[in-house]
Amino acid sequence: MATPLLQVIDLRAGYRSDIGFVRAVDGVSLEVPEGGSLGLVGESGCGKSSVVKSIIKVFPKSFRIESGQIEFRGTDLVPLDYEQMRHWRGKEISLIPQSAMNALNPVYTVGYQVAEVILEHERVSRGQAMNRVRQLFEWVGIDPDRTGQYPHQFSGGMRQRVNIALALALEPALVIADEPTTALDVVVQDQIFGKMREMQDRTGASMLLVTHDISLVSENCDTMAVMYAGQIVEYSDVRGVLARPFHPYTLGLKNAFPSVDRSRNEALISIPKAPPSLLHPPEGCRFAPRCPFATDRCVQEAPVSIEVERGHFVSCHHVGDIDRMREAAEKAETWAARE
Amino acid sequence: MGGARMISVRREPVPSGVKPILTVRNVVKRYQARTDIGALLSMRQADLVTAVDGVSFELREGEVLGLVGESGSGKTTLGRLLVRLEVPDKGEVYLDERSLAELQGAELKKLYRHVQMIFQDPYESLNPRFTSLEMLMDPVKVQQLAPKAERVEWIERALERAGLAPARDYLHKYPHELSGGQRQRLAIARALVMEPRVLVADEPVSMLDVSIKAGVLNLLKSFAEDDGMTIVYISHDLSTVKYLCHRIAIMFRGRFVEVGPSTDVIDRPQHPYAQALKAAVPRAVPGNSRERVRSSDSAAARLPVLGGCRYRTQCPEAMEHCAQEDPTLRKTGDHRFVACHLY
Amino acid sequence: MGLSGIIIILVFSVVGLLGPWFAPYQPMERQYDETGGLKRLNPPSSEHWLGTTLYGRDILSQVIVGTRSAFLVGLLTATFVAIIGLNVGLISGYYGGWVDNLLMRLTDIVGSVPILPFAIVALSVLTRNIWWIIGVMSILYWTTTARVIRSQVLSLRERPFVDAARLSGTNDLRLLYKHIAPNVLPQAFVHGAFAVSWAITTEASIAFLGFGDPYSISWGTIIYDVFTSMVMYRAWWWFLPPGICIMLVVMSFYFVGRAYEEVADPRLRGL
Repeated sequence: MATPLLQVIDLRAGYRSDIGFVRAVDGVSLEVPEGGSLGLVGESGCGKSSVVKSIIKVFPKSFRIESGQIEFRGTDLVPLDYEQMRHWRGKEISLIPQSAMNALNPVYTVGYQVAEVILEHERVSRGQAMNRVRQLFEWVGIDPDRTGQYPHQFSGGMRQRVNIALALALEPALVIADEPTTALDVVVQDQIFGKMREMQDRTGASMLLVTHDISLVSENCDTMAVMYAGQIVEYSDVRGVLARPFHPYTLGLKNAFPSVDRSRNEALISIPKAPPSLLHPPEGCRFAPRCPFATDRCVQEAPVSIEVERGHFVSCHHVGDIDRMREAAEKAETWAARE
Repeated sequence: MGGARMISVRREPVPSGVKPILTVRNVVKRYQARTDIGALLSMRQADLVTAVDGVSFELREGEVLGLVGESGSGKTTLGRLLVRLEVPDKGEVYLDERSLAELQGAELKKLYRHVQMIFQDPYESLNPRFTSLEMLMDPVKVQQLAPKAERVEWIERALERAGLAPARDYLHKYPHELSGGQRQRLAIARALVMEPRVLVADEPVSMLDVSIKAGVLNLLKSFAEDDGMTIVYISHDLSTVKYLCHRIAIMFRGRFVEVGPSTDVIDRPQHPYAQALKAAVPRAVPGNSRERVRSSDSAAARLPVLGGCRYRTQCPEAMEHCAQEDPTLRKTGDHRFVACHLY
Repeated sequence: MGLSGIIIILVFSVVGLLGPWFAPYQPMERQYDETGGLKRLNPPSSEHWLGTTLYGRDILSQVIVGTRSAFLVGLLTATFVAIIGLNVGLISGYYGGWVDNLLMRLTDIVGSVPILPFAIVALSVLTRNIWWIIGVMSILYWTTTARVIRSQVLSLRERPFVDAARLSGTNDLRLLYKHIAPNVLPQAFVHGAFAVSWAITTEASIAFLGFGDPYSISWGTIIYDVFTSMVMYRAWWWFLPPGICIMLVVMSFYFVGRAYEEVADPRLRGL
């Protein structure tokens, strides 16, 4: 088994707030294989963005990595500071951020910004850099003549394409995409992911896709990790998680997603209540308050990760009961009972 | 998620299935594109962006119509035209045969007891300085919806119908104290307070978490099914549209390109753009290898089109005829209309 | 920082409100010693904690009475400035079009008038009286506030909650004052705090130039007296106290303003 490109081992990190320490990431372990992709799935507040921040080391002063390791090609990234990370950032690991608006500097042209990234890490002339930029633009679907324009002159979708060009400029080994297509239309999203897969095929790069959209992960990733309240609750190859989900949260998510292929009359379920506060997380299973299958044991004792099938890990006490749970999870009444 | 039903004593019975409640005829709406001083000074025609370019349709009471399109398609603008937050440059919007543009003053005020709107961003659509009670009290006072003694009760009923129960717990909360789903329900309660017959919902769930979307969608569905409310549901997400709507209209650059019953249109789309939309939706199915979108991805394809069908630069089926004549909606089946030369 | 500001202000307000009753002497009363001689320019002593002026008046009493004047001038000016600035900003930002143009032109013109020369001219023509001073300052200082409020209103006006309020059938005025205004009030308050600082300093400057109200005692007039009597370098106890008071109060209002600004705009909190 080849060493994975990126290995996150028992990471704990969070924010200092006025009222205490919010541990957004509480014991997260995952891996991104060489040349493959991992999808990190979760809803708002689950901590997935904090995982990204920890890896790329771009975070505000109130954020702190408490413990754990982040191994990238043999080097542990955790002890490195912002300056030391610069060697990796952009060149080996790059980020396609969620909000295109905020990631581009409004006072420089887009061409300049992408060229800067290239020039920072490679010994080429500005002319050569600009040529690369034009090629990149062409490839991501931006008119190469627009390199002299400013970010505000582009629409949201186009700006995101610029971000992608920025992230791919140095052909990094690992591309982290943090909700890269949230604000974009389905057609543009499809085109962008098509390009990303092309890029992966060509350069052998790996991808860590962070999103709330299971279907995107299904189509673009090899493995999937489902995150809830700062922890990974289910982890496996994509096929495994979707065909045979084990964790009640995953079951809920699956049945909450409307689909174009579904009939109008199939009920959509919604998971009542909300995730727990990460300021004072509960002792037992964090999903228990919302879980239709929770028992006393779930409330008192936190489940550990069990390997239910080869390479398929779940944190739940009731994996033995999975067939009944899967069936019940499809019915809206099951979830409504937890209101 | 039952909850007290609104008492619609005020509503005069409208014979359903006869006259449409909402009629839109050839509506056009243009905006000055946000550009530099040069454009502002010259006011050139070319700098005007036509958001809605000749849209017509009728809506029956109790119907749920989906408006689907990408950003820039004009769907939000069309929604705003329906609630008179904007007035069309050409064409008319009629509610029960009265043109919205003609309404002024007191009559305009009354309009809002018939049509209401909810917006995409639950946080931005709430005034950060008002508690739920204060926020909902405002329309109640402005429109004199209930005598003083009964106002709080009226508001509580709206809150509970929107799924915020017990209402008492929510009365004194500020928006920042509520979750995304709760905020959106509060926005819905605000619309409900007016007991509208028509609700325009502009991407109401796109900013909500997946596990919460269904709750709000089901709520809207219950308004249509249980209370006979007419809903215009604007979205770019085909899957939620299919779940909620009877009929759907797909918009592209300001025009309707396909209209029909939602299951038909989504299961068997006819217009190439509709087909591309459906093809582009990712599926959460293991081992899925769907056909990728075949439309053109080049930057040139996305420039404004001069003459002929506006989709032709991206259309895999474009023919010579498409550059010469802009197709209009034509009937291709039972209640189905497509604007394409292929048909 | 804000806390220290508030404490200082509180101390001074107490002094200003109650002080005159506790002031050891009448501020304008000439003090005579046992031998019947005028107590001119006495340095601080146990009977006169801050000493006496050239004319034998107790400085401490003057400073105490001056506190009241400082607060009056400061707070009143700030109130007028806030009211004018707030309304101009609200109306200009909300209605846009020719109203906005007109009001902004007005703001530009008023904003370009230099305060001291204007004050001098105005007060020469009118009488040199504390109310006119307040008026003159108020008339000129609201421009920054108006601009800031206007830009806030411009962005607020586009937010969906404003559209939502329209859907209630509210008229423009109600929308503006009931829905939008509460969101800009914090800014108006911040500017108000700064305006107090500015007003006190400016009033002192006006007084220093000789255009103060001869019938009221303010820290500015005290300094004016020192200056005109040409004994500045000899009687440090005379000009130092009012100077320090001005500095302290001005700074504390500024601190309060800044502290509130951070509360009002969470982005400044560095989260």
